[in-house]
Amino acid sequence: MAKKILIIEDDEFLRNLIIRKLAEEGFDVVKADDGEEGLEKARTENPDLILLDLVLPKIDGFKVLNEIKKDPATAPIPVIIISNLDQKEDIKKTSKLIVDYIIKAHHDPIEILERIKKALN
Amino acid sequence: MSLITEEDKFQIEKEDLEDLETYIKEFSDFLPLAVCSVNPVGVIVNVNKAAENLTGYSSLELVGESITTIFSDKKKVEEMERELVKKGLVHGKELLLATKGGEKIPMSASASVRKDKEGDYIGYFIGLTNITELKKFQEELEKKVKERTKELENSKKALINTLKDVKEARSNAEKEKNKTLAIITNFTDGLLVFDKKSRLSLINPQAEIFLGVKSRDVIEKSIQELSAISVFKPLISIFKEKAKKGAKKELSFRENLVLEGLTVPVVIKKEKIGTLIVLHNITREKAIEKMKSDFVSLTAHQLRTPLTAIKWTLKLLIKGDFGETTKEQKEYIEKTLQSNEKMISLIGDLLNTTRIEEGRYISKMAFGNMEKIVLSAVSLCKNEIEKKKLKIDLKIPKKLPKVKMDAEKIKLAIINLIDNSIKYTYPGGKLEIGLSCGIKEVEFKIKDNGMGIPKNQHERVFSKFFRGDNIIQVETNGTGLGLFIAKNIIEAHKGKIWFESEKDKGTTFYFKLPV
Repeated sequence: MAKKILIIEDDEFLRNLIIRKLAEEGFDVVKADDGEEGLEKARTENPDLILLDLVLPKIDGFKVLNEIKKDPATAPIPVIIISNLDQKEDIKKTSKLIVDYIIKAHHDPIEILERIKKALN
Repeated sequence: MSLITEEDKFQIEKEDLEDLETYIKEFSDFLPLAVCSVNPVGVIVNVNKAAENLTGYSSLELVGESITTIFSDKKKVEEMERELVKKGLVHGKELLLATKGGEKIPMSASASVRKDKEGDYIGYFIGLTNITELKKFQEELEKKVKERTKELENSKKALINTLKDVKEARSNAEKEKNKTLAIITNFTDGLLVFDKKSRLSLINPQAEIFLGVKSRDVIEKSIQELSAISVFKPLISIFKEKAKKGAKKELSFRENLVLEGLTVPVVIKKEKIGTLIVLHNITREKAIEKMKSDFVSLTAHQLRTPLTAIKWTLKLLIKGDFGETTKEQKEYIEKTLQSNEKMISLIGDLLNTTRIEEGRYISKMAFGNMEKIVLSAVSLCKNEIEKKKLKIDLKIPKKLPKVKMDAEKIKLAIINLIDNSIKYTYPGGKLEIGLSCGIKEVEFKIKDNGMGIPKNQHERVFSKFFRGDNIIQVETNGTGLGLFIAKNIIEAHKGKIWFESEKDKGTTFYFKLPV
């Protein structure tokens, strides 16, 4: 059965590039445009992995992450942060709760795909 | 029965009288006082021996002459005679005696009137005392008194001048003091002065405002007593830490108030007499600094998203995700991708610079291996090295001590140094990269035989946005931030970075980190 990936990213263009790549690789992809929708889908869609941006409308990524990890139902889902924030504090805030942190500008969808595969194994 | 006749009686009386006359004459000659007897018309009738000696005239010469002949001032003599007739006695009248030898001798004359049995005026006695010595003494005394008076007057004058000077000096000192006080009072910086015993001896109004205290509540209090007041706590920390050195420290007092505290030892003639704390309000500078870095940070982050979109698209185009591309198309896409990467790296540098300026750059400090970091950095630069056909000589000894560092940042510093060497060395050149170990430090070295840095620009090498004049013409790419970032990273690790360079011969950069 195909693994389900939830991508919470507000930039439509970036989001679609990743979705395209993931779909090509046979993943089942669910998208969310903002933090609120993302949190809801994390609870209802039962994804195998979440790709989470940090700067998001409505509820920011830090809060979404905390909520996911607080809820026993969603807490076990591995989360990979994909963000262009690379300040140490931002990473520190999230480091214990995530499996990976990817700075978007330093990587491309192919590399991100590899990291997702690694996280799922 | 009487045996003595009248003749006998007369004879006896006559003898008695002659005895008396002789006695008087002898007595008068014996007298050291010069005495003349003068008749009512002013003619000398008798003089004694002392008078002869004094005047130089003989008794024969004097008797029968007017008394005025022995004095130089006739009028004064007549004046004395009138006074004498009136009072019967004159005492201590000053007259100038004219001697036979032509000398003028000052005399003190005393005269007494003579009267007969019937009380009629029959002349006078005049006695003369030489007062030359007295006069001389008197004159000398007067001279001395005059001199002394003059001296005293001079002293008085000097004293008055001194007093005037003192008064002036005091007034000047007071003026100076008032001026200094006015400066201290109106100073826009807060000032606190602690004395030798660390008691607060002065606090100016601005410091009162900054700290929200009143002078009367805190003055004369010791550091210990003041430490009980919470607002003084940050101050006391700098007072204790840097009291000896005199250094600046940023102090956050409350919201919207950031002060820079400067501790200065007050030294007079090599002796420390207290400590001055200057509080400078840097709230505005801080706010501007923050706005600036927020702006750069925001802009950089905003720029990252479209650059990421370009990067991802180009990458997927190259990988054929959107279908086949011709060789030429692929080449152009790759060049575009490289330009994009440069922009991404420039933004990374800008963000790092902002973080360095905000003092929040170095974070993950842990013990690590320098050799691993160097090898990893070299491998990241491999493509560029190969492209330029540079020879690389790596000298990395085994078993180097571990260094406490933020490994990611040290790697970035090394990459920046290697990147510079690659950029500014001509194709086919040579790089030497080495690590060595000192007693207390590990040293990194990178030597190239490239373009070098002109001597007149050595001072500015590590400053922000610096790019050598000679290299701008050869290599247009570069932000001028690489060495600035590297220096900040090394110094944040309490390390040291330096270089040696000669134009057209090459450059060697070194840094060392404490073990």
